[in-house]
Formats: sequence, structure tokens, C-alpha cells
Amino acid sequence: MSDPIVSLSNVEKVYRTDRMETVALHDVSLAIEQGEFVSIMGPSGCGKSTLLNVLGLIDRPTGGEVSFGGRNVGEVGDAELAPMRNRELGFVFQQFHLIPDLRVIDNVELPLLYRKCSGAERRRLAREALGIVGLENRVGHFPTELSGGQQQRVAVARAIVGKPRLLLADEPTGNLDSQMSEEIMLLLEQLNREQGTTIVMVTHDQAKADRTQRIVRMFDGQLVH
Amino acid sequence: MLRNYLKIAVAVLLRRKFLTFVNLFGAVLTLSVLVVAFAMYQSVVSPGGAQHDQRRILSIFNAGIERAGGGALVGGPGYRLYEDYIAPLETPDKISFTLRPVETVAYLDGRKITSQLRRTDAAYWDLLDFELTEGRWLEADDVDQGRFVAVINEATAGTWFPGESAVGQTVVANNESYEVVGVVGNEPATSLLAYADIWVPLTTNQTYRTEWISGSQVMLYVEDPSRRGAVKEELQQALADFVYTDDPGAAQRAVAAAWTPLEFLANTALPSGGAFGDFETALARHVEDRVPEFLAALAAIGLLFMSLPAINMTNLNIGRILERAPEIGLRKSAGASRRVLAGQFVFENIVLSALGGLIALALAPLLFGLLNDTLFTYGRLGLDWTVFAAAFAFVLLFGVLSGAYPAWKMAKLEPAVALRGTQHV
Repeated sequence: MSDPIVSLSNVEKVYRTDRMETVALHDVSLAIEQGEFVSIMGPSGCGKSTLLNVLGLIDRPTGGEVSFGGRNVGEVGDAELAPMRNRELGFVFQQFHLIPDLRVIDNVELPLLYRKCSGAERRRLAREALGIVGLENRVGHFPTELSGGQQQRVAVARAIVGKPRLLLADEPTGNLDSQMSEEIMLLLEQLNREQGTTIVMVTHDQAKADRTQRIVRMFDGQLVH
Repeated sequence: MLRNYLKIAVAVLLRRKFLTFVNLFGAVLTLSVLVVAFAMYQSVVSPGGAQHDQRRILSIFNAGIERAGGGALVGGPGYRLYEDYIAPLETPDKISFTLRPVETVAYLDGRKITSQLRRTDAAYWDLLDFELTEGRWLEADDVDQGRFVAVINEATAGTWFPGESAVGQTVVANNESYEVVGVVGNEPATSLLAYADIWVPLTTNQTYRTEWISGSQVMLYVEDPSRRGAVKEELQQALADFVYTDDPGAAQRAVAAAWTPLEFLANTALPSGGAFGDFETALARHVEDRVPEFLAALAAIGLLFMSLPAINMTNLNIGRILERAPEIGLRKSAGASRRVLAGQFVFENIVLSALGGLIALALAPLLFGLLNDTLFTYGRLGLDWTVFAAAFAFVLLFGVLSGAYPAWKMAKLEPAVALRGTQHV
């Protein structure tokens, strides 16, 4: 087996306020291999999203080590982390997080704004990504003109437009009805199968988790084996 | 990328229209005042028209003579001072002595007409570039002979001789009649050297000849502007040998300085810490170059003036940041660095500021018109490239001033925190 894309070693994440400490992750060690489709399950508040954020380099652990592509990213500053996120990672969120003032194509282009890429190339790649999610006819629409499922597909297109190695999806079907969530699930499976995209997905839905290659279970900030 | 930023900037402005209006109102007000203030400053420092060649002319507006018993005589450089210590200077290529404009009265068809009358020598017309619309300048012969002839401006010609040629006709000022020999364009009151309604030969009134200090001014012209320093130096050397020949014991020292309009403004506008009564202070005021200090003071006042609306705008921007936290988180997760994000939000703020600047520039002609008709006689305040350039600089400065802090605060947000939405930054 090749080196993992991302691995956590004894990771801790503690949120501190003046009054209390909340342990979100405790002694978490986990490796995500290239090409895997992994789901993270557990009850609400158990630290699933925090784990996903740490895996996606958008949250820093308070202890332990995070390696991405074999490199310890603990000491890496913002200026270096930003291009890593841009090139290697794609995110899909439960709330879609589309920018309502931008058209679909502009939303999808967003990650490409932060790398050297001409306007024409950005358009081409964004159309290509929208083609993959089946929304090539919606490029000029605003997000509010689309259904929830379509909005999430736009979010998936935005996540894959930069051809990241790792796609992180935080309850991507959580806000969708069963038919739309099935559409998204099929799309993620297709990306994993046909494009070889590694996917880590947080979900509450056992049936969907069962369709992934590996399930990571969490309880009270710890992995359950 | 800028196109994308611009789209977002416009969209954000349209999201909360009242907030945008409040922001814009502050920006327009601030930038309008700054644009008008800059135009006023320009009209004194670089008035154009007859005074368009600023680099070659130094002027002596103020002079003082220290009394032996304390105190000082202050005013313009009188003819005695001019004749004995200024006229003999060798470094200037040309020198002119004129009296400052004085208000005169005349009655025309029962109407009281007040005019500013200036007595000049012939060199005056050689040093300044008046626009002659009719007739001729005052010439050396007019001055030598003490002829009662006058050059008048277009406004005076229009008042006295509407619809007809003024040359050859007579104007009256303080019961003295002058034959009009020429008509020139109006020069604004902010043109310290050129402004007047009626110009007559210096020699039409002889009282000036006996005065050391009087309501007068001297122009020193150098063909090569780089020699202005030498002129100033020679003037100080000449004054170092000052003797009050009327009564050598009564006064010991004289002071005067040759200035560009900017130096005049700087040295007279800044508080001196003492009037001419304190001769040492007066001397220091005349020989020190206070332009850097003056420009720094203007910049400080400008910044202070901008800072209040900028702080208000900063506050409103922080509110907007809270609304946009998820977008910030999204952009960071998509690979935007702090620097890029801060740049984007400063850019958005500059867009708002630029909008304010455009409105201010659109309003400026109205304000200029109002001021030109009221505060500044024959005012020439208007939009030119320097005012545009200044407006551009103000817009940038205001945009950065009011946008940098919120932008940086926002860019520092951790992406995961921002994605959840945040209540404070």
C-alpha cells in the first residue's frame, strides 16, 4: 500500500473558553489511503466534523501530529497551508456554502482564483466540473434558482474543479431529501470509482456509510474500534 | 480575479442598501471636502493664469524692521527698503515693485462701484502672463511720466462699458480718473501677485517713495529656477548690512524673505510662536523653510479629517464581516491565504470609496461654482488633472484606511471557525 494521503497521530483538539474546556478529539490516530472512500460516523457532538476539519487542514489540533502527503504540517504557516488546501483538498459542506451573489460558474471557479490560471482556463475547467455533476446547463443561474440537490452538486463541482487528491464531505446529504441525497451519493461514488478521488465523508446515515469502503466510528472525541 | 472581486463587491453593496448608503454618505462627504480643500490649496499655490510660471518668481510679501526700543515695524517691503537693498540684487534677472491692491470707490449712474486698484511698475507686466484681450499693457513710459492710464479686467470693463470697447474710455477710482489703455482677463483673489480690477502706474501716487515698510510687494524673477536659492541668499546678505538711514539709532535690523506661493502659505499659515514684535521669531520665520512642516501639518489634518468617517466605516465593515464569516471560511478552505483575502476585502472597500469619489467629483463642479461665485472673487476653482489625481489618492487612502483593519481581522479567522459563522472577530 502506498503512503497515506493524510494521517493523524495521537491528535488532540481542545476548545478552551474562560469557563471551560471541551475535548473535541482525544488521542485520535487515523490514516487515509489514496483512493479510499471512508465514512466517519458517530452521534452528534462526538467530534466528527472536527476530525474532518483537522484532516482537511482547516483546523489545527492542540496536540499530536498531522501529516499530509508525508509532511508534518504542524509548523506550516498560513502562506504554505493555503496552496496545499487549494491544490490537494476539496470540501463539500452540509450547508453548501455557495456564494449567493455569484452565478453557478463563478461559484465553481472559486478555488481556481487562488492559483495561476487564466480566465479562459478557469471557465473551461468549471464547465468541465459542472459537466461531471450534470449541471452544464445551469452555468448562468444563481444558487437560489436551483434545488437543494442541484446546489449540492454545484458545491461538489466546486470541490472537484481543482482536481484535488482528497475530497472531504461533511454530511453532504444532511440537508437533502432521499432522492436528492441519493443523487449526491451516486455522484461521490462515481468520483471515487472513475476519477480515483479519495473521499472522506461524515454521515449519520448507516446505509450510506455501508456503501463506503471503510467506516470510522467515533464516540466522545475518540475513535471506536 | 479582479472581475470576481468586483462582482462580489457590488453584490455586497447591494445586499444591505441602507448600510451602503450610510457608508457612501460618509465617503462622499469626506471626499468632497477634501477635493474642494485641495482645489483651494492649488488655487493659492499654483493659481495658473497670469501666475502660471511659478517656478521662476519669488515674492517678498512681508518685511520687518526692528525698533531700537523694542518691537518692530511690519508690513510689505517699502520702497526705501526696495530701492536700497532689493533693487541692487544681482542674482535676479528681473525685479518688480508693486503696491498691493487697495479698495477704491466710484459712482456710476448712482451705483456705488468698489474696485481693487493696484499700482505697478512696468516690469510687473513683463513678469506675469496676463491675457490681454484689448489694447496694451502699462509701459515704462507710462510709469516714468506718471500717466493716469489704466489696465482694467474684463469684469470692470463689463461694469463700466457694457457692450462696447473700453480702450480710450475713462474709469474713476477714488475720485481719480484714468484712461483705459488695455483690458485683461480676470485674475482670482487667490492669485496673490496678479489679482486686481484696475492696474495703474505706480507713479500716479508718490507717497510710497518715502516708506520703509508699506502695503507693497516685490517680485524677483530668475530665468533658471535652480538659482532661486542664490537669490534668497543674496537677499539675506544684503539685509545683513541694513542701516536705517533716516535715523540710524532708531532701528538696527531688517528682515524680509523671498518666497514661492507655497513657501508664503507655509510660513504665514503655521503658528510662529510670536508675532513680528518678537524680532528673533520674525527672523526665523523669514529664513527657515517651513514647507515640509506645513505639508506634514496639512497631511495630518487631512488624515484626522478622514479618520472619523473611516472609523465609522471600519465599524460598519466589521459588522459586515460577521455576516460574511462562512464565505471567508469557504475562501480559506479553497486556498485563499490571509494576504489574498485581506487584499480582496481592502479592494472591496476601495470600490465603495471609489464610488464615493466619483460622486464627490460629480458634485465638485457645483461646489466649485458656489465658491467661485461667493468666497473667491473671480475664483477659478475647477476640475483639472491635479484635482483628479488628488481625488484618486484620497479614494485609495480612505479605502485602505477604513478597510485594512477589518480586512486583516477577517483574514485571520481560522477557516473552521469562520465556516461555523462567528459572533465576534
